[in-house]
Amino acid sequence: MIDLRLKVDPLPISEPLVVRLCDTAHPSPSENDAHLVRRDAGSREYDIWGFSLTVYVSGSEELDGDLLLILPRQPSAHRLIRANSKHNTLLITEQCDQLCVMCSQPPKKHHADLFDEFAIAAKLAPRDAYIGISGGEPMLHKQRLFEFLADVCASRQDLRFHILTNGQHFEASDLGLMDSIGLDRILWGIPLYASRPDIHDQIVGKAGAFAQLKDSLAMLTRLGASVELRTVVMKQNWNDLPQLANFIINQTPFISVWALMQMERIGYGRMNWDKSFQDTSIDFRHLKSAINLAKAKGIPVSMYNFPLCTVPANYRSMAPSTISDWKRKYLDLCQKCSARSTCGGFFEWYSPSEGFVGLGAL
Amino acid sequence: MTVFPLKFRPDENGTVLFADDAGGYFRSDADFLDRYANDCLSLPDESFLKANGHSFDHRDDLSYAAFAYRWARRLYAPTPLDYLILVPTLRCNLACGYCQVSRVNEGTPGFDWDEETLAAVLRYVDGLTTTRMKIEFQGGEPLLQLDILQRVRSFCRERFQVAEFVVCTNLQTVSAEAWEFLAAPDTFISTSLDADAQTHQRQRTITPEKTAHFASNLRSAIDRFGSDKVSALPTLDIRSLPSPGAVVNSFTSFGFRSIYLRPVNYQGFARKRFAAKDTTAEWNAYHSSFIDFLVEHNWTAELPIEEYYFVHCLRRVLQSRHNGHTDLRNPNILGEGYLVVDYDGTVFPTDEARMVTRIGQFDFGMGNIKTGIDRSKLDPLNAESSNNFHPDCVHCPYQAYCGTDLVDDLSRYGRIDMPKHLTDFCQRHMHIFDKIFEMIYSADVKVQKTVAIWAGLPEFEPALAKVHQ
Amino acid sequence: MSTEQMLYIDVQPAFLQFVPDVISRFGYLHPGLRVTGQAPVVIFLNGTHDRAAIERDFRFCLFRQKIYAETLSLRSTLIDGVMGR
Repeated sequence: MIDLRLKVDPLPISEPLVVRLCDTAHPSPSENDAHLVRRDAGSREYDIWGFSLTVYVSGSEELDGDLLLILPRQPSAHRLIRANSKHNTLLITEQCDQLCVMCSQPPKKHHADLFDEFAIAAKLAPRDAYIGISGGEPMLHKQRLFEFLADVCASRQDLRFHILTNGQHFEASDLGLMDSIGLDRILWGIPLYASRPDIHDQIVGKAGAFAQLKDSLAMLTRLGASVELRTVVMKQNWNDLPQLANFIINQTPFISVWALMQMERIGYGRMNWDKSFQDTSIDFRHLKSAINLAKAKGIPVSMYNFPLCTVPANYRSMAPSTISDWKRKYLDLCQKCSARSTCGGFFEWYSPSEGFVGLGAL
Repeated sequence: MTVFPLKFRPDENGTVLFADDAGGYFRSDADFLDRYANDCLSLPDESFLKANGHSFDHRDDLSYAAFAYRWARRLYAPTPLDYLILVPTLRCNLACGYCQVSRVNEGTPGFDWDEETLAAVLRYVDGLTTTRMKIEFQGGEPLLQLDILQRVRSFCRERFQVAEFVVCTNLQTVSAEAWEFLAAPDTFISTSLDADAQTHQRQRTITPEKTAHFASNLRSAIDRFGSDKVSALPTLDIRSLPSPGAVVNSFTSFGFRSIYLRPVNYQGFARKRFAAKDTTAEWNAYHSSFIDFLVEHNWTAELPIEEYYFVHCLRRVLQSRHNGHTDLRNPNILGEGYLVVDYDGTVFPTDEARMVTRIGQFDFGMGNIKTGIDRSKLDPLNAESSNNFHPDCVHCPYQAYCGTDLVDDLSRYGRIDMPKHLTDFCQRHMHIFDKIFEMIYSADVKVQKTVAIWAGLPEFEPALAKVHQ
Repeated sequence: MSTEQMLYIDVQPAFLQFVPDVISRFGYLHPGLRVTGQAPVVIFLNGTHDRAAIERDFRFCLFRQKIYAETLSLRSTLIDGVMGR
């Protein structure tokens, strides 16, 4: 598990501060650059505008190019963007208007607007960075979000974003702006759990969600937006999976990819694990049907968060490594596995005693 | 709810295949057809149609947007020109029986590109907007102009981000220099392998020595470069068709797994010898038996085989945007995505058009690469190049998967407004699509295995055989 | 002319308006057959024709013409929408 927070000696600041840690002078310097002054076994000292910033981190950790968010009077800084990682996500808000049964990030009432800071960080991100935007529900702050995207995308033509949203807040008036930002700059990750409103609405805990989502998808189809449709496979929607595949090939043929996902055992996901977790390692039937139908019809399909040994051999090529590095682990039995280097492993909080029965080194 | 228009085709067993303009399909029966045509759909009918993308409620709902998307994706939109077929010489060191119209003897002067033509071609290529280019060298025998091939390739490698070259060679005489030319990773070989050695000799190489030499060169090419770099196409004579087994054995012995069955393309006088309709029926029967043979073969073979064109049509049924074959597109716009430049610089929209012009039937010439390309001649053809509203095609359930080939119609019938069902193009494709659906709906596990392989699936999925009871 | 050579096809009211177009279309597909009438339509069979098949083919032409005519505006709207008109 990689810690996304670093202990720091508090700085005398009254506003949040974004800092880019630089071991050496950056080729495109900025006023947010903090330059490495001293490096000890368990800490590093940086200079920023004449002030000293001390960060506590193990000697082996790479920090060069990282974007940190330092809040007033807080003893830890957030690592917003890790220069060496492919998995960087900005948490826009913890507020949400849905209550998904497997939610890994249960909603909170309070919202802190850090869009300005996120904009600074994104503009200083490494070249070609692919930045995740998540929540809660990011589009609860739609106007600020679009301002952020328009600003950053205009300023940095190389950046792309992967935005998770429940798809409940798209309006026709948004489409022009989305078009001008660039349809290939943003991949919208939108969950769809079933082919029927009763199942989908129950899973997301909101009546009318399915109907609203359909309207949004119609708008996104006409716009030509890039969409990753995400389906967490659970007991609640297992039997509907083939019908969902049929729905997708007919009603959402424009999507860039259909991601079938295994559950993450954290947050509500952990609370509702027993009644929700579907052990696909012992019964792959409906997944097989869904995958083959979609694939036959030209819809790209991918399995996210499936350990390779839980997937039949001729489907493993569709199960890439997707668990973010900072929350990924492997089990003891993985040590002898021939597929370890390509397998995405398990979530940090995976519990073997309540998880897949059909595990084993390949 | 409003149902998107359905086309239908009954088979001899009383089941009816239905399909819409976006390529969505299902099987049902004559009773459903009656209800549909008479506007008496039952609730189960409506429920089925709604669940399977055949209807919508409001113009701004998801079903309508999705259908419009699927329908639009069925249409071919030419890319800026990124594919050129170049014929630097008509001279050839073989005299294949079916090639009378596009070759001259190896020593004949006056049938090669001159320096002016080469310069004009390179100037033209330089002016293109694409960043990727595919060049296919045809002839005659292109290797007889190795120098020109080398110069064109060098130029394109410099000029484009990605360049790919295909040399359509008979592999009869390959010099050391030619082998070196062919060895490059961006260069591919396309050759003819007419079924088995016997047939190949009868139709192409004539003597056992030449046949053996060809076979040895082919084997050499595969050993040196791997069978991914080499493709072979058989040309089959309807008067003397080899058994499927002979063709498959011959191809697999060279490591080929894709066989593109092409009937000899008789031009002009030769066509008058055989009534076109009879030939088509005979060809269709042969093709069908070949597919059946492959199904059996694939059931037990370690490495499955495909018939290239059948698989291409199968993929067109299941998916949109399969436009890789230039003769099966809708609309089949000529003169935009690719062009042919002949030995004398004359520009043609397709290779077939070049051959039809050569025998004096029609003049498809679009000007000369040296003096300027004129596309206006193609305008009347391009105006008729889509099948969406053709009075025959509009009723056909295969319309979304099919296309048009007006050059073929012109070459066979001298006109483009033949009733479609009387054309070889339509008869061949009806047959192929009939067989594709017969296989999709087959309960035979051997057939299902081959369908899965050819559709690119780990396993067959019964949901592909949608039925409305 | 023997009545065995004449095939009578009753046309349902909903299809009557399409009969002229259908007769054109049917004639295009079966150039050797004479077709006339409205309700009923009369097809003059000459020689050995499969009565059932001819009748079925004519009915299919009726179906197809009605479907075509009634869905033409939908197809036009679809094209306009896709072409951005």
